[in-house]
Amino acid sequence: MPHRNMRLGQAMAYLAELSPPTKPKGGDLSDSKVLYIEVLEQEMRRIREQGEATSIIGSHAGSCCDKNAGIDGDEAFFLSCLVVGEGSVEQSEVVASFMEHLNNCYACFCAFSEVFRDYYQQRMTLGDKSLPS
Amino acid sequence: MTQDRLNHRGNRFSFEELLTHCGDVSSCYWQIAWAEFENRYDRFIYKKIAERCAAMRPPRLCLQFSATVEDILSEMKVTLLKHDCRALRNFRGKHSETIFLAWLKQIAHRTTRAYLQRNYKEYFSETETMSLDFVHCADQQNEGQARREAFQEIVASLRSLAACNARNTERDINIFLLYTLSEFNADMFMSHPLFKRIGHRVVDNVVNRTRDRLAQSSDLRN
Ligand SMILES: [Zn+2]
Ligand SMILES: [Zn+2]
Repeated sequence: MPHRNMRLGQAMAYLAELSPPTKPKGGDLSDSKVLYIEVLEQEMRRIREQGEATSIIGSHAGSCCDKNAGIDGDEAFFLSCLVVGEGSVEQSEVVASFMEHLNNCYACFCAFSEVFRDYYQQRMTLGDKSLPS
Repeated sequence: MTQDRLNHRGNRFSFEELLTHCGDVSSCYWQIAWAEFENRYDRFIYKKIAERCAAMRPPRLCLQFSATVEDILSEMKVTLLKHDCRALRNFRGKHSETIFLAWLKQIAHRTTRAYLQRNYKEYFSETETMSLDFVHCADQQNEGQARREAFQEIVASLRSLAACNARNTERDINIFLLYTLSEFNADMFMSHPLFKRIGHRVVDNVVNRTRDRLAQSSDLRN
């Protein structure tokens, strides 16, 4: 369920800010953006609790997306990256294998760059103190 | 901004300065910038033209191979200098020499094809006429094409250069791609869920080591 005025990477920046997860504190956010973030937050929590992050990333691992669908627009995939980034999940092998796909597949590489560029920029805007300065 | 001393590769200008001066006929550095341009890229362009000539192999070409390549090289220069160097001025990948090399290669290949088709009419069909318009419009599609080619070339070169069984090869290639083509900086890696645990130092090392490796390999530079 993509949002018209908020990109996935931007919404993910809010999710990274909310630990422990609470309602987004954005007085400047429209209701529909808050809703979008909440839906993503629920999905991310589900992925975390069910321990699915590794297998979701694994579904994009190794071979090029000629066989699998690409990562573009795959919210569950990007949320899984966030879950893996929280550090409780062992990332090494699956992530390494996913990197191989990324190096084979220019389209996915572009999607990956874009989402995380938005993510970074939004976190800077939010003044995230956990980021290196 | 312009250094008076030469840097470690014996160049006066940084890559970005070089392109800026070459694209600006009013710059007082324009002439020395072009001299340096030839120093740095003529061999590369020559090699790309020669490869293309060898691949297209028109029958009488072998008799005058190097003269033909020289000819095509100067034709390509004319293209680059046209309209007060508009092509260089409009080139938008000024931050990345890798993208620039891919772009030069594309022009070299097209100039070669256009030249051979013109001079060996009886051998090549008329159906495809090469257009060099793309050099001057520098539209997004061509920039995208150059980026895609740079992407594929970097991956292929780095995989061939990697020691077998090297751990992290794919990860390191990915870091390098994000750094060169997507302009990720150190902070972006540190905010990235999949890279933040690697650490700032490692990212710097990977980028520098990879860059040296590519520079030493003959693939992109000679
Ligand atoms: Zn893909
Ligand atoms: Zn693919």
